[in-house]
Amino acid sequence: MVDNDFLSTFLDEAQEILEHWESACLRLERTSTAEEDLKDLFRLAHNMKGSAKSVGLVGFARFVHRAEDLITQLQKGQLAIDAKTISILFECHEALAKWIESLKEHSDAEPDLSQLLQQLESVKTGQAYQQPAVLDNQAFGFFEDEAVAPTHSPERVSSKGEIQVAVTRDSGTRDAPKSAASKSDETIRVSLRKLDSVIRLIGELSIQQSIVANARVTDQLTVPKVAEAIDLASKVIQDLQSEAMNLRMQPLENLFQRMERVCRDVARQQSKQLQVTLLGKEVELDKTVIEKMKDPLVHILRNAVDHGIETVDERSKARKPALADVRIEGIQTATNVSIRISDDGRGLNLERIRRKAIERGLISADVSLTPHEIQELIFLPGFSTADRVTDLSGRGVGMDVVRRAVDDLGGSIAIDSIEGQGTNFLITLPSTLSILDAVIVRLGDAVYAVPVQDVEEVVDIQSATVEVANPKGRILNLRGRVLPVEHLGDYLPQSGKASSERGVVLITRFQNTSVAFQVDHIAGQQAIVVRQLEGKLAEVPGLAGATILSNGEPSMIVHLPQLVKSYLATMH
Amino acid sequence: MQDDIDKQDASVTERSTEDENKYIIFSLGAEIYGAKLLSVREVIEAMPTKSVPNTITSFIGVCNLRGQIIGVIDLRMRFAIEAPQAERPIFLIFETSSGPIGAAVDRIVSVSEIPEDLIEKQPNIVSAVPSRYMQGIGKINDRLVTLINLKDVLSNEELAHAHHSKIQLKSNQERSA
Repeated sequence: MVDNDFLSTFLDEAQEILEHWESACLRLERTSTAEEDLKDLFRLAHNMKGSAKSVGLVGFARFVHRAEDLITQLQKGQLAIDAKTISILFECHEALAKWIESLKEHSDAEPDLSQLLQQLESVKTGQAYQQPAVLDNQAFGFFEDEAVAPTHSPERVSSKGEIQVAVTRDSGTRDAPKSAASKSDETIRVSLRKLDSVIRLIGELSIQQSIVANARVTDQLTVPKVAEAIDLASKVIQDLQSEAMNLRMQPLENLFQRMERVCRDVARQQSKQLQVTLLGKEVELDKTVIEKMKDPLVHILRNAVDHGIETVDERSKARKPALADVRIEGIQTATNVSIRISDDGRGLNLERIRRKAIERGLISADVSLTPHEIQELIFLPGFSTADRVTDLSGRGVGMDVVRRAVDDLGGSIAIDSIEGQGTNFLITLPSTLSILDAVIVRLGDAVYAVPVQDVEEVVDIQSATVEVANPKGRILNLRGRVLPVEHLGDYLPQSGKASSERGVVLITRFQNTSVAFQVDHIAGQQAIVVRQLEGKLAEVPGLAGATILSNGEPSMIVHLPQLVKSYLATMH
Repeated sequence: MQDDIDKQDASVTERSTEDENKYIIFSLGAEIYGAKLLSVREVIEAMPTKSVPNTITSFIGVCNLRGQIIGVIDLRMRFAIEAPQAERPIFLIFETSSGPIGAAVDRIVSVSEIPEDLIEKQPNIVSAVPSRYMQGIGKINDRLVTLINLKDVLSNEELAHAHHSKIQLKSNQERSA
């Protein structure tokens, strides 16, 4: 009988242990400090076994025990630490991680791991184990899972709670229902330092509050001490707000570790040699941003290793060092966080991209493009560079999915590749989704917040040239650029129509289209705290969330890129 | 083990039957309706709401309840009940799996206990309330009360609506992303 109260605690803990497990395996593979790493692994396995037993997960504990045996044998030198044994440790990690995922859905999930166990046993007894073909697929299955980007669907679990080992080729798994667990059940790991600082601030606040409360009792609200207390309290509240926001921030470390693992796995399958350098692991990003970037980043890396990195032979022919270099870097700037992924592989083949784009009808054959423009073509929907469909990348999930995920977060992605020398991706992301700089606009009776990042420019309509182009609409001539003018009210009705002669337009750009949206006037600019819309309200189009303005009134945050998308759809 | 669970369930039911059978009775126009008391998080006086574009008409907007943004559905509009607007409507706030949501009703009548056996589960009457949301018809002092599963009405109804708007509703793909 599994105790549900403790189960979730165990799952959180086990997940953390598994992260350490993975990093110990990665260290074990490339370093000489094997003794330390094995000690770590043993301790991790032992702890996990103990806590699994204590919550009644007997099967889980039994499996961990078998892995622990293997680690002990490695420690004693009875088995060699080689590619095979390390790979089994990785496979155990993977199986356990999947098990944890399925335990979140069904507290009695128990996958069939007999093949892995058999493999464990055969390694322990030193026999050469013939891997059945399906196990190869299992390794691929891991990537297939990831390829479902960016919709996160961990459900590779049948209704009986078994983990399916074989790869399902149909697209059915893509539409797997999302976890029923509601948002409120999600947890986040917070460093004690941050938590202490919040508690300290709240303590400070209650002191000031008691000064004011006391003054009210004694009817002395006008003494200078009270004014002081109120001033101090508002400062503390400001600090508290920023500290509270800070609680959502997580270091990039775990994300990077996973990316390193992907590189390693793909390289192993293709017998490529590479080293991964991780920089800026301590840079922090909002947890939601990290979650949403996981699959896209994995996709970029899988592509980089699969298509970018050459085989050892090819590299020696090109007079490159045999060991390819993949660099993953987190960079903190004043307002953003950037992630740079670079490799020294073969780079993008511009001619091939161009040809493919013409073939797919994405560009016409006679158009001349700069090298950079050609590189940008890979982000277009319906573009996939792989000539052959490999198990790793050629699933039609292209870079456009990556671009969309980044766009949705309000970030940007740039590519820079030199043929023969390597490829460089720079992804810039907002460090938090909770606070946005917004333009407050008025439209009829309604007040909306528009994120500044979505606005290219604000133009007073009276000072610009607006012409009626055709019955369909008006156009704005802006320094030689011609933009369509749309009433924001046509997209967000119930808010009264803006007059067409007066007002300002917000120019926004989505992919390659710019549209000028007309509002009555701009009421100001301020930092807003974003509240996500929940339930059915989240499905209302054109909104990115809600906020409470300084006058205490709720206001909707308008998502201009989506309006541009709708505009494009009505044009066609 | 199964027995244990059954026993546990039994004791839980016993303890809370009383509360389980309590309903908050409210009026919409001339009729009275009831919803499970345990499903209601709080009852507040109507507060100003801000309308949200591209939503169904019965969704009157969002309000700021102690820093929480809560959407409110006007039940009278939702069930197409025609009657003059109450002077001071009441918001019933429900906690659903996808966050809190409110329902505007005319007046709170009472909190009453209606035993299970006084509820007609499959009433043969025509009601403004769609049958899928109707829990049954109860009886309080010889007065009939339509019992509504309000939590379902509020959390399952589609709110998005894009008539007279150039905007497109979100596709399934975008929703899941």
